[in-house]
Amino acid sequence: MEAAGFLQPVSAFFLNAAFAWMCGSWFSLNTIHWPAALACLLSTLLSLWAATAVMAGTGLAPAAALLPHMLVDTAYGRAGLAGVAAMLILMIAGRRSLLLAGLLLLGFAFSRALASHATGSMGILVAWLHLVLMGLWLGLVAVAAWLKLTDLRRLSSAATVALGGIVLTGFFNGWQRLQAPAQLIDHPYGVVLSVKLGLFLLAAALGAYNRFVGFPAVASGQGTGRATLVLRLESVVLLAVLAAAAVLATQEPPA
Amino acid sequence: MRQAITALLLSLAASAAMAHADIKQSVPAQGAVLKAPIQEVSITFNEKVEAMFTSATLSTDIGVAVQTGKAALDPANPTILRMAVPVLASGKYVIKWNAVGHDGHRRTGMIRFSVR
Repeated sequence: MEAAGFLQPVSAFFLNAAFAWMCGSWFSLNTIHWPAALACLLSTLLSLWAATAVMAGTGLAPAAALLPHMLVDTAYGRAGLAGVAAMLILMIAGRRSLLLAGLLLLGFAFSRALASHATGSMGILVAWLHLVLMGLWLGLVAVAAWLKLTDLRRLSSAATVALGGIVLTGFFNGWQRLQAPAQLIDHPYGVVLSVKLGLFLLAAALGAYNRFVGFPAVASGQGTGRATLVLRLESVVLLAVLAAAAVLATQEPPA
Repeated sequence: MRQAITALLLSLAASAAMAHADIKQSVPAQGAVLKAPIQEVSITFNEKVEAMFTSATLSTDIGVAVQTGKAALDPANPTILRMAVPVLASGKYVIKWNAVGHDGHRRTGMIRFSVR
């Protein structure tokens, strides 16, 4: 049980990080890196295995036999299976069509939203948008920081739109899952959410620095060194946001 | 047009509900003192729960298991878990339940009641 409780958030973290990288490379480089798709697929399978153990209240070994039944007989499993299918198709056919790859990424995120804490049409729609925008923001920053810094204006505009959407959808999610603001400090779920919020604000501040100082400096020919450094810091902070989100996904919200 | 959009948004917002499975009501209720025999225990959850990972057992308050029917979801309403029970002697009892909702979270709990 302990191993499953550890594997579940860890696999969710790698799954979301790989998804974010694909979003970033899709948007900035017009391509999908298959190692990221493979990492996302494997992490998804591991997270479903861990989820089976958690649901059954057993260890990972006995949960392996239950996994096929969980995938077929539960709504959570069917959503996960849809995500696996989306990632498999993405690996096989996604590189041939950017549009298809984009649709499959959206479909994968939707399967994640279906298996999240969100309920009701509005809740699932908002959770889906939140996942897509968070993946896009981290992906844009990570690809620019570690692979290729391209088209600063497009990068900055897209990241700003993503950030605005994350604030709105995050506010809705928090409103749905907390009964009172005080739970941000006196409920385990709220405390992790507060940590995530703090990290998010730090990443947003780093993004704002680049938008108003770093990128204009690059545009005026002062070199990419400082802007890239800030982007790398921002990507690391956003990975910490993903880690907090992965822990949140395994916790029970108060409402 | 504006009214239609408002109605749509309100209906979507209204459909938002609890994020995980939890007990809405049970028969017998928590802490109930029964004066007449019951034939079954029923637990109603706030959302549809997964049959594969939802079950219940009955025991006395000192942990002696009571032979019951297998707990199963009501085919007509999968938010209700039903379990047939034999005629219970006077004493204190505990129903232990576990359930998994759409979000994959395992919830467990106990319902204590007594029979006069």
